[in-house]
Amino acid sequence: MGNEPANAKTDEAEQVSASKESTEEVAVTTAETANDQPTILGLQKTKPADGVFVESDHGYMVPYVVTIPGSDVKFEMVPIPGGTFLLGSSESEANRGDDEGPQVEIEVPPFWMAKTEVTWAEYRQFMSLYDKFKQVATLRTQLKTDKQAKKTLERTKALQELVQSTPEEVDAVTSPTPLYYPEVTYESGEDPDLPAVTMTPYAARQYTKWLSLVAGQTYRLPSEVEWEYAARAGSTSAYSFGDSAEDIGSYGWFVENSDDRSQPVGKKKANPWGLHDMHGNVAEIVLDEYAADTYEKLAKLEGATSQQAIQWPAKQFPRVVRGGSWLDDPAALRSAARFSTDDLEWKASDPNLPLSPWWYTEIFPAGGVGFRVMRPLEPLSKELQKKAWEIDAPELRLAVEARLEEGRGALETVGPKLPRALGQLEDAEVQKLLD
Amino acid sequence: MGNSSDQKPASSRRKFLQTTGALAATGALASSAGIVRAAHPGGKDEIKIGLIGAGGRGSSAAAQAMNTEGPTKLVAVCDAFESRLKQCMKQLSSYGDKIDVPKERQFLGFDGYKKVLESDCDLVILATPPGFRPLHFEAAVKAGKHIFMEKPVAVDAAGVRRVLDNNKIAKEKNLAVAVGLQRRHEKAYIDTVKRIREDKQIGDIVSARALWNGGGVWVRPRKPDQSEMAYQMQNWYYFNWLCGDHIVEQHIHNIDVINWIKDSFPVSAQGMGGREFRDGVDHGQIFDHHFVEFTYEDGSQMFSQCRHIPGCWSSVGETVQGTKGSADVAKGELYGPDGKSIWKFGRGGRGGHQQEHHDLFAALRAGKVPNEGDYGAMSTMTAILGRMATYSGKHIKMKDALASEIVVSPVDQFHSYDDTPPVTPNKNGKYPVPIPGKTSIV
Repeated sequence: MGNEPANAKTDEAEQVSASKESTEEVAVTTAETANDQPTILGLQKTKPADGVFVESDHGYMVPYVVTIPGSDVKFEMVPIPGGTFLLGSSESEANRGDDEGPQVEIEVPPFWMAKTEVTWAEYRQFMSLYDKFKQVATLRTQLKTDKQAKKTLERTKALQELVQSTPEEVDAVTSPTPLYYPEVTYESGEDPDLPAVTMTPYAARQYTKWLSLVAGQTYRLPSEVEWEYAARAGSTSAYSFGDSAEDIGSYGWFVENSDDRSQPVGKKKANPWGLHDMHGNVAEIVLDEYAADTYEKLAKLEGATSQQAIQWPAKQFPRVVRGGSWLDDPAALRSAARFSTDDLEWKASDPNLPLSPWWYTEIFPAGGVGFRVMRPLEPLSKELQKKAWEIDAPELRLAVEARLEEGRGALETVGPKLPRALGQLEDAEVQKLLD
Repeated sequence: MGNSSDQKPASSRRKFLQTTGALAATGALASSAGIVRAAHPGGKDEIKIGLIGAGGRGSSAAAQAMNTEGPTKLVAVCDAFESRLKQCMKQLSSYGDKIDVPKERQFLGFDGYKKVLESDCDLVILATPPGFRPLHFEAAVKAGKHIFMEKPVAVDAAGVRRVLDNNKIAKEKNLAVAVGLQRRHEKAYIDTVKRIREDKQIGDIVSARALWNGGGVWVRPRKPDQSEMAYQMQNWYYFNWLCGDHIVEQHIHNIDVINWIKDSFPVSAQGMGGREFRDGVDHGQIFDHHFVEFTYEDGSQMFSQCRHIPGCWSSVGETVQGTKGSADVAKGELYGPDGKSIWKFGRGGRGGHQQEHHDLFAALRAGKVPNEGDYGAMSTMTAILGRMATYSGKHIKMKDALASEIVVSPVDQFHSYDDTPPVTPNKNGKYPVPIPGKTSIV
C-alpha cells in the first residue's frame, strides 16, 4: 500500500512555469477507459504482485495517494470490491432502529473510498479559496478600471483567464465563508489530522466538486448504500468486527474513549477493507435525503442497484448521516444506524438570515459531523456530476443566491488550471495591485 | 445525534442534555392567552415591529422577535440597499400573516429610518452598520419606540455620549432598550457569572482575559461603476466610521463579559496592534490584530486579544483569575486554587440570539421596561478605548477617551450614495491607516 502512482497529467501541468502557458487541456469529465488512458490513477493493467487490489472491467484497481494540487496535502483512496449485500439490520439486532429495515439485497459495483475522513488539512485547502476568490473579484474590477492591472495580468495568463471569466454555476464552486465563531467548529481543536466538522452537506458536495476539478478524477460523497456496504466490509454483524460492542474501543472513537473531542483520523484499527473510523470519530454525510421508510421503498424495487437506490434529495434537510461520532454511545456506531440532519436545530446560533449554506453552528451534534469522499469506477457523467455536486433544493438555492448577491459569498470557476491561477496571486506585480 | 426513528435506541445519551434555541422558521403563531397588558403605546396585545437595517443580522433579529410568545407583526422595513430590502422580505415571507409590510412601508435610502419611525410600530430593531446607531437610537427615542439595538452602539466617543444622553430620556419615557450582547441572556453565562460575581466562589478577581482570535470575516470587493459611498457602505467592515474596527464590532462581546463580571468599566488602557496580513486594497483601514491591557478602578486588569488572520490559533472566550481560583467563563467552568475543576455548567444554556428576544418581549408583555443601554454604551466605549490605545500607542484614561471630541462617524451628514464619505482613497486606492506613535485619537 501507499506506493504513489505518478499522475503524469496534473504533475506536468503543475510544473509549467507561469511564463510559459500550457495549451494542453486536461480532460476531467469525459468518460475514459483503461485502454486509451494508460495512466489512470488507481488503475493498472497488470495484476499487482502484492498488496490490495480489486479486479475490474477497467483493470486492476489499487490503492493510491493524491496530493491536492496547489498544496502538499495528501489523502489516500482504497479500492472497494463490488458485490451484493443486505442493506439494513435484522429484526433481532440489539438497539436496532425502526428505520433500519426491511433488509434489502443490493448490488454495488466496485469503487474507491477514502481511507479516512476528510481532515482539516484537506478541508482548509477548500476553505482557503475564500480569500483568494475575493482577490480575484478585486482584480476583476481593476481590470475594468485600471490600465496597470491589464498590463500586469498579461504576464500571468492563468490568472488573467480566471479574472476575465464570468463564473457560471456549472463550472464554479462556492467556497465556505469565513467562520463567524470558530469556537464550536474547532472545539476539538484544529490540528491538521483531525477530521473536519460542522460543514453542511452542500459544502461537502462543493468540496467534492472542487477536488474533482483540480485533481482530475471524479469524486463525490458516497451514497447511503455505498457507505453501509463499505462500512460492513463483508460483515453481516452489528459492527464490522462482530455483534458485541466489547471491542469497539479498538475500532472507533465514541463517548467513552474520545476524551470529549474528535480524534486524529486513522488511529484505530481499520475494517477488513482498510477503512478507518467508519465506526465513530465523526459521523459522515452521504448523498441521500433521509426518510424513515426508505428501505420499504427499496424493497419494492426488485433487484435494485446501488445507483438506483440513491435517494437524491429534493429538500435541504433531513439528509442522511452515518457511522456515529465521538459524542455517541456504541449503539450509534453500528453499521446500520441511520441519522438525519436538521438545519434549523443545527444552525440555531447562526446570527444571520438566511442561515449559512456552508456551516452548522451547534456542537451537538454538528461538532461530530464530517464526511469522506468516494470515487466511482466509471467517471461521473455530466448528469451525475450535477446531481452529486450542485445545489439540489429550492430553499438552499435561495440561501446561496442571497449570500452571493449581498457579496458575502464567493464563487469562481474551477478547473485543472485553478491551482496555477491562484498561485499567480502571489506574483510580486499582482501583489502590488492587491496591496 | 438525532436518531430519526420514533424509538431512539441509538441516540447519544448526552443528546438529551442539549438545548438549542430552535428557530421556528415557520413563524407559527403562538397562543396569546394570559398576556398581561403590554407596556407599549396603545396597550394592545399585538406588538408591532419596525426594522431599520435589513441585512443578514437585521432579518434574523426580526425573525427572532417574531418567534417570541404572543402576537407580533412586522410593519415597516428600511435599508440603504434595494437588494437587501428585497432579500429580507423574501427571507421573512415564511412568517405569513405576521408580515404586514406592503411596498409603501418598505423604505429605501439613508433616510428610510425616519419613515420606519413614523409608522405605528411599537418596537424598532436597529441593525445597520454600527456607525449609524447613535443617530438611529436618538431618533427612535424621540419617536417613543421600544428599542432592540445590535452591538456595538457607536464607533466613537461622541456617539457613545449621544447614546448615553438619549438613554436617560428613554428611561424617563419608559422605553425598553435592549442591546445585542446576547451572552448576558445565556443561562450558561448567567449561572457562571453569578457564581463568580455574587457568590465569590473564586474570591476577588485579580485579572481577566478576553479573546476573539479568528480568521476574519467576509470581504465585499469594489465593483465597477460603484460610487465611493456605495462601496464603503457595502464593504463596511473595513471602514472605521461604519464598523469601529473589529475590536469594537466583534470583540466587544468578550470585553463586555469581563465588564459584567467586574460590574464596572476600565479606567485606562494601553496596547498595540496593526495590519499584518489584511492590508489589501479591499481591506479599507482597520487593523487585523489588537492586544490591549485594560485597568479597572481596583487595579485589576483585563488582557484583551483579538485577531483576524487566517491560519493562526483560533480562540474566542473569556477567563478570569481570582484570589481563590479561576474560571473559564465561556466554557462555564470554575477551578480551585490547584487548577482542578470545582463546578461545570455542562452542555447547553446557549442560544442567546433567540433568548434575548424572548426576554425582551416577555418583559414588555409583563409590563416591565428593561434597559441595557448604559452598559451597552459603556462596553462599546471600553472597546473604543482599546482601539484608541492600539491606534495611538499611548496609555489612555477612560475619562479623556470618553470626552474625546474627534468624530469618526459624522453620519448625520449623509443622505445618499452621492455624498462623500469621511475617508477617501489616495491615488493608489489606499485609505488612511493609523500609525501608533503618530496618530492622535483623543
